[in-house]
Amino acid sequence: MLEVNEMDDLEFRRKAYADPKNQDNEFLDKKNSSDEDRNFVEDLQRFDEKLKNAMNVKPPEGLAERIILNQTLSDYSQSKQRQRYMLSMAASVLLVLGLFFYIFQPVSDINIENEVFAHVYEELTHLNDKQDKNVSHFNKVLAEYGGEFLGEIGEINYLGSCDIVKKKGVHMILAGTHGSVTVMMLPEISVREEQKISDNRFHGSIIPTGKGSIAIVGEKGESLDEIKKTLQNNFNWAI
Amino acid sequence: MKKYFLGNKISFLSVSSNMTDRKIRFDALVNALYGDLYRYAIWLCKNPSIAEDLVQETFLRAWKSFDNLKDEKAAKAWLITILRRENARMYERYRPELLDVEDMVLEDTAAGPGQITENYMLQKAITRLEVEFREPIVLQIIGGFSTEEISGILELNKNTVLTRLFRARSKLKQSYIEQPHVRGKRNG
Repeated sequence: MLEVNEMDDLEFRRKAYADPKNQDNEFLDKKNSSDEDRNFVEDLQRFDEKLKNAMNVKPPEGLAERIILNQTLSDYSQSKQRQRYMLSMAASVLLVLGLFFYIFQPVSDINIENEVFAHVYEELTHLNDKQDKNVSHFNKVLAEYGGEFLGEIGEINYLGSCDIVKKKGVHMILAGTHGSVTVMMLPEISVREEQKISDNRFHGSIIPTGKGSIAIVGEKGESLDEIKKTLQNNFNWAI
Repeated sequence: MKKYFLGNKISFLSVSSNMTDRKIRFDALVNALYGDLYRYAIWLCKNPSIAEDLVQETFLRAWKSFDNLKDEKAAKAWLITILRRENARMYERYRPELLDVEDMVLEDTAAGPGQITENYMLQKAITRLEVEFREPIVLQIIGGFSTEEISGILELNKNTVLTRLFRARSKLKQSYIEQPHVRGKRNG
């Protein structure tokens, strides 16, 4: 049983103290080489059992249940938090959308109708004007808005820039067959599609154009189709 | 079975069943390991209520990153690593109070007055060990970890761990031998 590299006693004892259950072959060989060594290790193993008993403190009653409950509650409060987060996100999005539409709202069509008629009635006197202006005057005013009219429009009895629907626009009065026809260029007010408008005295349309819209208003009985066609087809807008 | 029967269209059901699976696995893990984890915690911080807080916090964190746990055999070492980190954080936060904690309240299971059990004496001896010796030997005896595993958990090299285990056991043995009045429990 002569081993060249047999473990010396000191190293054996150090290893036994570090880990009495050491399973290294070298260690086991040394342990089994004498009763003394075996007793030494077995004594330490018994001592380990005592240590284990000493360390084996009982956990508090119901700890496992409390851990599981705690986890469930934290999940619940997290999902609540998530809900609150989603809710506040949704609220923010709604707020932003609301602000967006508030600022960039296309003025509602009914509003335009009222405003257009209001403006016609405010300036009824212009219906009788005879300013004798023509397309070139009209184009000068249109140029401010980056527009150009390429067709013929006939005699213009009144031409001016005014605030219509609280936005700048061009107010023009043409001669019709049953009195005067009012045309309002509304570059800052868009409509999605043609809208017929009327009240007790007047009727007309608001039509979309390359830049904003055009309101055409005539006395009841006045045919506006011709002028509408002319206005629809002869504009050139520089964006 | 239901899943196959109803096809893929009810994938939300399988999501919720994944959640249930996860929960079942987690509860099983709690039941299997809370005791050892609590014991490790109490020998680490020597205070029962802090130990319970540590265990609670550890399992909460474990639940949150439960999906990272691929190998459930490694769960114990993983939990202990989380608990050590929590302990370090808590220690940093409440250092002054913790410094006052001398010994934990130990149950003396002595049969009668004037007697001191071997168990109690050993528990006192363990609490008196410095933490660098106490921790590896608790991991070895309670956790059943090998020297390599302990060196992984404590982030120490193997020889340092062996030295500390050697010194821990020597100190404990010494205080055991130096208690001539110790009586073993004879009824066990």
